[in-house]
Amino acid sequence: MPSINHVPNRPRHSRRLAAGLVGLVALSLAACSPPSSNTSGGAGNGAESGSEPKVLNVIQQAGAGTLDPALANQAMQWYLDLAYSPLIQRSTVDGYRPALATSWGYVGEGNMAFELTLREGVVFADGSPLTAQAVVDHMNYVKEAGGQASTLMGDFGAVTAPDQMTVRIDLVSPNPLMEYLLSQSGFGITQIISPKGLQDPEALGSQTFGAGPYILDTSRTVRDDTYVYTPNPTYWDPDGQYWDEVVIKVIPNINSVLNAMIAGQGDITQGDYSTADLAKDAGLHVKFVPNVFQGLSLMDRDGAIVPALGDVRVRQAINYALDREAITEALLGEYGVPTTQTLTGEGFQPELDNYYAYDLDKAKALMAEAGYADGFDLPVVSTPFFNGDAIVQAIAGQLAEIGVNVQIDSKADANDYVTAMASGEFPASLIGYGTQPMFIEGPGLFLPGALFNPFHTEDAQISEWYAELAVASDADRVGICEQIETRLVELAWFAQTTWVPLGTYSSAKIDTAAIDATTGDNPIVGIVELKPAGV
Amino acid sequence: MIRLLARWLVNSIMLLLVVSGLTFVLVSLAPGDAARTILGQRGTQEQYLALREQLGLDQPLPVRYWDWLRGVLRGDMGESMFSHDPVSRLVADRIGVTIWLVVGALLVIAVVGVALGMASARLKGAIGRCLDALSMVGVSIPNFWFGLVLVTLLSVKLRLFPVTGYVYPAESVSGWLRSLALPVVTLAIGGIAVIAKQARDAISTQLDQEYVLALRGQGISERSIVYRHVLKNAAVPLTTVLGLMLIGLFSGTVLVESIFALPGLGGLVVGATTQHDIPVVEGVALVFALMVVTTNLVVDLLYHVVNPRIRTP
Repeated sequence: MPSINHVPNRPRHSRRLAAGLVGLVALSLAACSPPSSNTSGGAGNGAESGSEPKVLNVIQQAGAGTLDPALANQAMQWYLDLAYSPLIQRSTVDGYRPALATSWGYVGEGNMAFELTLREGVVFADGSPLTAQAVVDHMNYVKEAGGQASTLMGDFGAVTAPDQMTVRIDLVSPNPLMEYLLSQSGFGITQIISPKGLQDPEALGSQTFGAGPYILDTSRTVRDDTYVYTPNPTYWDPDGQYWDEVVIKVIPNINSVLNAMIAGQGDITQGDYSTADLAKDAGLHVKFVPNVFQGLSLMDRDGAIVPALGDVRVRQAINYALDREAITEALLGEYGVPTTQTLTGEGFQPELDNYYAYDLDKAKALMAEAGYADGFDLPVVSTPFFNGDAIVQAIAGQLAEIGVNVQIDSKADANDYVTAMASGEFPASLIGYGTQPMFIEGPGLFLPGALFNPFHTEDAQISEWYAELAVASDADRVGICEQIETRLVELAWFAQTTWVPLGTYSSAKIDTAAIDATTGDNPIVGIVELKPAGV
Repeated sequence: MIRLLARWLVNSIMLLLVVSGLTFVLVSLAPGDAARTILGQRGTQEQYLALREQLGLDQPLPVRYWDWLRGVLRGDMGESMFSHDPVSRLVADRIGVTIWLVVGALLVIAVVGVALGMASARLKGAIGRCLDALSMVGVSIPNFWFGLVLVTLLSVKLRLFPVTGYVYPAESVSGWLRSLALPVVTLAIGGIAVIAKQARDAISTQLDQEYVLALRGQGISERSIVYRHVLKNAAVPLTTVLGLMLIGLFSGTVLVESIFALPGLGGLVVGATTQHDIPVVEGVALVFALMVVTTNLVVDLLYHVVNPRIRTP
């Protein structure tokens, strides 16, 4: 029976309890002030005019992880661009323009050497001067660091400094894309780190050592949560510092991102088509560009597992059987774009998107002609990520019309999907591949050694043109890219249906010119190009 | 008491070893690794293998775990594979946010849950049944959905609270309270319902006891009976449930911190897991486990405080 509690005197227990609570509170005091354990603060000048400070609030769905440019990837571009100037700025508004380099170009014939002249008088935020030797040291560091940038530097041979302000890059094999690679689109290759930064590679992960318009204020930054940037007082182009402060807030949840934008907590973020209508209704500026082609990759092009796929007529029949307009409309509404192509830049041809205009009769005729009038089974590896299973199911429904029985093997883990796709055990797979310049796309997507070409299929014509592309002049490059793209479509190595868009939402605080100028080829607005509205 | 502490210590060490070992194995067995994350899909196999070696990922699992454990025993939790920040600093920067969130939610659960339970127990009939029904609704509502509804109504439409983010008390106490309000309520909603139901049952049971009749017979006020006697006896089972709930609240912070973009341990471990940043994941798991064992100890001590029979030799 429960006792009638007469509230005994128990000071010992009360003291223990109090001690426990004090301990808990003491722990929590860690959260009373922002983390300040970092040592190097920014040198931001803030709003000196006395007027309302102009703050750009950026929302990202993922933190930078590391701020070391050598370990950068595309998702980190805004984090790095604020603090690191590239050699060449690739503007959405006016193309390639000078940044830390004022002039550049190939030396000699065959795209085997490239030279840049550096801007005079540039000083890094830490006070050290920009010299050719600093750029050489930076490139050598990035190449050895083992990040994504180093994988793009496979053609780079010796990087040297013929004089104080000239950098020369000798290539071990021809590369026609040096201008692209030496812009911010080449990830960390030319987000130049100061000599002081290179002396302390461990610090590169959490501090900035660039010559960009802003400096990371580490005393107000919490990794993967909030990044605060203040103006760099030594910046080489003070007129290009449009903001007194830039704050990147990390919000992983997509609905929370939209809510924060609507509530005015954010000025710019990367949008998602699933929330685009809501964003528009809330008065945000919405801009989408085609970015990732999605559909099927018909990987078993020599028919090793499924002999039918070895016949180009069957692959073409699959393409004719797809009603791309319907699939795109159903899955992405007005924000998707139907396509048969693999890129949106040089090589893209609008008329190629009609090459496989939906024609069920033609598809059936081709199947019959190839001896597969009764169809065949087609195992496809997929994943639910990025709407993958939905698009494969839509495709499967349409291919059933010509007797192709798609057997979907969905991998719940995206890494499992990549492993299975690249294993050579599946004749076809879901594919989602971001648009890239043809010269970069080849080794990743369709050349014999490409990850997305697990059966190592080679087309002699494509390989020949690709070799020509490597040494092509700017004038010849576009034509060769178009030849390759046309050939890829004719061979029907893929049965893609849709460009999945990449979007930008912005508030009325921002001038939208740079955002509106984004394209599928250059989809990410340069964060340093964003100006306040009305300036 | 000494026996209790000794048992707690032994159990805690076992639990910490099991949790850290399991975390190590699970994160290591998950497809992909930090080297692949850093290199991306373009990296060649040679580059990948070289980076694995550089990061020490080529070592056998037991060797890597032992290295990590030795570091922890020396007070070194290692550093992030990506930013090279010491894990101890990453955790220290964020632990307070998570603790405030959990403590706030626990207080709300205890106060509101017990108040509702008491009202339900004393106001039998229609009002009691309504409170019961509300409790069931509270248990059934997914807290992430509830959080999003709160944000839509109170933050986006009425602009009463920030949609996301955290304000440190040193910057603004009112801002701090506003930034924590919705996350705390979101985290607490399910717990309020559970405690309300438990409190209702416990208080009803106590109210039916003979000692309550005896007290009433002595002319002691109903208020005094409830607050000085009934609630005290009902607190014994409630303390246990609250203790267990506190442990659950720690895991609930992962989702709530994601919705409200709070810089706590939950967000840190989600990001680190995605990147296969094993030292950070291990560090957070260890801290969570430490908080759980500490909670267990506090609950045991509280149980001694509220239940005199346990103290009786």
